[in-house]
Amino acid sequence: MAATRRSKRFDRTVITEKIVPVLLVVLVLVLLAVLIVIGLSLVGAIPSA
Amino acid sequence: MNYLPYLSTIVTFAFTVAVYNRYRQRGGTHLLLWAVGLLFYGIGTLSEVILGLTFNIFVVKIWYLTGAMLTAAWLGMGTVHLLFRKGNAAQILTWVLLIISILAFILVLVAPVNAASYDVTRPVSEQYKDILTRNGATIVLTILLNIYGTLTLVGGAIYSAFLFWRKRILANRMFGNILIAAGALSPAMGGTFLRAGLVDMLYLSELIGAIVMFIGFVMSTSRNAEPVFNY
Repeated sequence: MAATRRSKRFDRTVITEKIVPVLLVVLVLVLLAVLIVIGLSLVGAIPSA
Repeated sequence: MNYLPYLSTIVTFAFTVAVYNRYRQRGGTHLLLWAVGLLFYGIGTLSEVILGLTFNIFVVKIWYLTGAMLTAAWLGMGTVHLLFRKGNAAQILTWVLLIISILAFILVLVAPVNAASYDVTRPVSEQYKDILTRNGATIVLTILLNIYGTLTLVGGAIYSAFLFWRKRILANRMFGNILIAAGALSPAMGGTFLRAGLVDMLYLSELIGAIVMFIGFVMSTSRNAEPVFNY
């Protein structure tokens, strides 16, 4: 299994080393923003869906 | 913009069949629960199609129950089963979600409806608050189900993508999970737009979400992938 997994390793490129981490951080930030908006709906600060 | 639910329905039901076929081939509760969540997604967009043609009280209630309340939570439940394989936590949460879903069904079923104000030319997302009278419990349940579903579905996909990135393995699954997270965020953001008064954005966000998640799923399950997470 270990050998198979090693064969599935991908090469480090600009996309995997620079863009992917940025994408993951952006997704986390958007997720937090959406959850905050939904949470504000719960406490009545903004209209609920 | 009213043709968008037609496209969303086609894409979502095709996605549902693909996930269910995968479940039949490989098993896995997470796949079955994703198929259930996607079925709710498709029923929600199909309801938008029907409500764009004619008004029906039952369809309005089905639209709210599936589209607004249950879809995200059931999709997220699938991700919980994928990520938490040890212990009974996922099974217990599934039973809790099932009970809450039945409660949501009853609450929506008994909710009073004001059919007189419906305009078939306007999106149901623009009018449902005037049509469907929701009590406090229904609203709170809707919000809690969406928080749970968004957090588990999107958070789970981001976490999976991060694991593949950290181990530098299975690029297709890393990118697939990024697409699944982005696609799942799309209708969640559509709900946010809805609150901001941008009602047309909901239909567009549903279509984009279905397409992007479907591409992410296909990418993650491509044949050359090592089943590290056994999608």
